[in-house]
Amino acid sequence: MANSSIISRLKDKIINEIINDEQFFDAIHPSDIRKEDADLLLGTHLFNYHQNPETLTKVETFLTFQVHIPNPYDRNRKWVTSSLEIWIISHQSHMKVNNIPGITANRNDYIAQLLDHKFNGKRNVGGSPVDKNNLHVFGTLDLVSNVEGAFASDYLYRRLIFECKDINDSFCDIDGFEE
Amino acid sequence: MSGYDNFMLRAQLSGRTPREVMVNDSVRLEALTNEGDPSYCDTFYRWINGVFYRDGEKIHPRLYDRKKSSAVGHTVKMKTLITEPIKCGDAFHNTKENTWWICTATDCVDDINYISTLTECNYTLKFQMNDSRIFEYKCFDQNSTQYNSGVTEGKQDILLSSQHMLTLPDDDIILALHHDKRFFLSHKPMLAPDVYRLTQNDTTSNTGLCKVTLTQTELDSDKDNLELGICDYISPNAPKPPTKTDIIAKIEASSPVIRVNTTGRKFYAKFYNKDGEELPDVVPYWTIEADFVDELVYTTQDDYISIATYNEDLIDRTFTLKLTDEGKQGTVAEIVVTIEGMF
Repeated sequence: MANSSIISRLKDKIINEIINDEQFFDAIHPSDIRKEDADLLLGTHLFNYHQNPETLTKVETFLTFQVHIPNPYDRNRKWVTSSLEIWIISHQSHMKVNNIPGITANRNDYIAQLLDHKFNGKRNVGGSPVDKNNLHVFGTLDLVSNVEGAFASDYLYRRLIFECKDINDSFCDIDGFEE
Repeated sequence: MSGYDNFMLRAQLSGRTPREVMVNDSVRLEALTNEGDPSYCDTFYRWINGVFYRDGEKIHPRLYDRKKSSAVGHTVKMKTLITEPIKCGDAFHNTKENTWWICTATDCVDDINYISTLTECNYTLKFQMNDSRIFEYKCFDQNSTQYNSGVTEGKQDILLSSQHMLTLPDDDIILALHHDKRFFLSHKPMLAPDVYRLTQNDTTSNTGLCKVTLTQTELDSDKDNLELGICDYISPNAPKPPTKTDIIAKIEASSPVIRVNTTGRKFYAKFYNKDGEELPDVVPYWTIEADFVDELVYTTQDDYISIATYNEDLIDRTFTLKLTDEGKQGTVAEIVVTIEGMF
């Protein structure tokens, strides 16, 4: 990783795992996408930036993903802390999980539980059977914050922050980026 | 025969009641004098909007009371015979003046004739639906920008905020227009493209009419076709010429894109005869044309093939998937599939 490449890689692999997990599909419960076309959640219910660009015309749930590198991890600035911020935003009429029997938590809390269970303490993310396609983090991905609130009129959110370490500046040349 | 008997005989022939008599007399009188009136227009036709827009049947109206205002545009009153009913939303073409009109109000007066208000159409709305069909609708467009000059200035940028309201007929195509659908609203998009997106489709304002509100948005040079004047343009697949065979193959999929490291995409085989009836018992035969077939993971079931890949080096590559029937008697359907990453 290094040199901010973790930003796109981490978003990419986290979303990849979510798309490939049927539990998340059921939890998000999109009204117009079939389970076999789960990748169509991209750009409709999953966004790798903090905005839903479409006019909100339906009762639904969507997630936004951001990756920040707010400050160096140590005084020598050889390491940085990358934080993955996931917002789960649901319309208040979509909060009841009535499509999955036995779930009494509201939809935001349920999705947060799934995310925590899936990614907290993980060393690699991506879910690909080809391991070289997965992202191996330094140390583990740790959940550091899980808060909720009201996003806008009729919309509620829960925000999770995961952190992991990354190298600030690569010790080697990176293909595609000249010194 | 007495005068009273004569009157009753005429009444029975003309109508059951005095009202019917008078109505029938008036209808006959209108028909006799309609085309002799100076206000009669001999070059008025119904206009058919849509994919194959064209003049429809000729009608025989009398036009009067022309007005022009900045609020409601150029209007004219129209009187037509009872045999030419007019509905709100009907469109017309005056071939002599080469002007188009939309009916914004109409009344059937005493069962004698129709009196309607027409508004001149000042714009042709052009758009494409998901099945690649391109539609053209004549409409009345008015600027409805609210409380600003058309832009909203922020600290870092200046955003567009003009609004327009279009008056359109409320047929199935217009009712199906969804939020965020984008249109050019410019007579010459190649020179100065103004792009708008649909923010309100109000179907309650009047029976037969839709009031569509558009808000200005940004041009997307990758998706918008300036030459054709269509936003979010979908390049249509060239239709295959009809063949002698009765088996016509078609590939159906929710998207022609496969994302790396996912469970892939299912492509369904459909077969039809020349009458459009589905043939459920035809066995599909699939072909993948690519020089990296070994990197694709595919499985076939009765009526679909599922294709996936885990090789990230194939991102942005394409391959062609072909379908025909097992006996290779029917047509060959094909689709170009693109392999993409997450974004």
